[in-house]
Amino acid sequence: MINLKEVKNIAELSYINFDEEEIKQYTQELSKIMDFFTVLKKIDTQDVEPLLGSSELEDVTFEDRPKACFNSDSIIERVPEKQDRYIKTRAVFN
Amino acid sequence: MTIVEVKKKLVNGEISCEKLVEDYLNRIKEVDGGEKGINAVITLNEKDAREKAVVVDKKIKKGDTLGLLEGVPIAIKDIICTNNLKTTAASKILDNFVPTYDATAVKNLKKAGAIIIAKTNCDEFAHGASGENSAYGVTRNPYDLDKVPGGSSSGSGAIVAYGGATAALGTDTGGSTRLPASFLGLVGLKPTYGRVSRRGLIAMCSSIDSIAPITENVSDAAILLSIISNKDPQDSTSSGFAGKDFTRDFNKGIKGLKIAYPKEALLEGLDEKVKKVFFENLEMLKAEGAKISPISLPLFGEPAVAVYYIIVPSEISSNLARFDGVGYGMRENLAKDLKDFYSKTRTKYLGKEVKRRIMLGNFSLSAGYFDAYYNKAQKVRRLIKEEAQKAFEKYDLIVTPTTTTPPFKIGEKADPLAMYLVDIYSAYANLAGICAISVNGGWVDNNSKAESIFPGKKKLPIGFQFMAKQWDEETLLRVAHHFEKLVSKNNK
Repeated sequence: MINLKEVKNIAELSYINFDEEEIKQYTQELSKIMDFFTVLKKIDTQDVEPLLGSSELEDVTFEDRPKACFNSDSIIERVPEKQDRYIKTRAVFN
Repeated sequence: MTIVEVKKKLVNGEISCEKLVEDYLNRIKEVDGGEKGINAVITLNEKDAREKAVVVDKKIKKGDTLGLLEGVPIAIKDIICTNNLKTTAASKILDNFVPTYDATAVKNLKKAGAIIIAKTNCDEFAHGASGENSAYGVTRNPYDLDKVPGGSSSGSGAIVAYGGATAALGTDTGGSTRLPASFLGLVGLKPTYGRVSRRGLIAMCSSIDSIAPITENVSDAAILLSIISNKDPQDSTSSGFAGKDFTRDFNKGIKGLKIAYPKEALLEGLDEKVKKVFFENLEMLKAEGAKISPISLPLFGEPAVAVYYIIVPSEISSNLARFDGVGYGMRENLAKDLKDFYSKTRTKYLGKEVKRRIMLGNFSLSAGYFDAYYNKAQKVRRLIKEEAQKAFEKYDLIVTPTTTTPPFKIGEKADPLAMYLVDIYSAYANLAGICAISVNGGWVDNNSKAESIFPGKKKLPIGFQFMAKQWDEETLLRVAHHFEKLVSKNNK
């Protein structure tokens, strides 16, 4: 079971703001979903290695040679707010 | 009209490409907009499509060599990047996002001559099974306007179903092309992970996302797959083989083929009508000489869904951290500092289900829960893969219904967990890394009084799912093609 405090904490880590009503609702919903996950408890996974991906490829590397890349001008041109070639955002410290 | 039919008409001069594109655009305008419109389209690529059509007509007149998809109008799920064409992922946070490049799959389509006619609606960031989670409104099922078309590639399915595009690209992470195919009487093909490059696909769950075709029939799915697969240096997990002809053995028949169905798929929640169609379909395959056996796959069903809804949100929480309002997309400027800016932007522009999944993922990954949830799920994921591998040592194909029910009502599954369980037959294939396809298995009576855009059609489609081992799309498509012919013969 997840409690309100944990949900608030996770919301902060997720950079999402919720009001009290939403926190309550998410707590309820997430608890129900996490409860459902307990079906995995009865599956024996002793000595099983976690599987992280679907691809069996290993060590895929790029050729170490310079080549044409994105046209950075077209990207800079589309940023929401800029000054010269810099993206504008808020200050880290207030 | 299928790809093959459209190509033939263009080449034979039965219709000009300009007229063809105009017809499709008119169809979209006729049924897509308005209060009870299907709402399959987020962005119509009208001007560009018309211009391309003129070029195609000139090429045909001159007798130039034509690409495999020359002049064929294709729709693209709005989660796949298209150069200079708005790509929203059906989220308000990308409401103003115009990519500077084409996804590799789109590039491949364009190289083959395809005309991109529209960017289609979907669940926001592909988070959904019904099409209801879009920030641009729900997509309706053309066969019953009160029902869902299935998701998350809802618009890609609906637009093909109503004839607004010849075929479409969707994506399939847990069933997102197979569910709409099932609910719309179409074909939805989930290729083996890695066959199609993911470059330019806005990531949901990088370790299982696949770009996937939605088409009218199996031949079209085979054609599209052969065009969009390749080994792309810009997606290090891709290892597809370009230009493979998947239709080569289409006439080989299915005699002696070993087909299994998991007993776990016949659970309590399975609708009686779906069950009936499924067993009729099995009999049909048997009559053609296939050997049908029940097997047990204990991890099929709820365990697979549980694994899926731990791993997918975990990857989502990390993949969606990039939507912070800084480099692209929408931003909320009234903020006191950077952290506040991130939070306000995400709070304002991300949808409810997206937030739920980010939260769920950050939860599963957090220190106190990591072992019990994320790590446990990754272990069971290995067991799922091994279980499937073992089954494919004995059987050529595994079959199930695609969904437990016919298309359901808009708003019916308000409980998030109930919606997650819609993936109960489909998520397994993604976790096992295998390929799968949903083909129409038949139609059942629809008792609802709701309107349909097809006058006189009072039936709803039921999907049939085939799964084959990794990289064996050849068998998958051959059998699906054979099956499709049998079903259409029986329904005549």
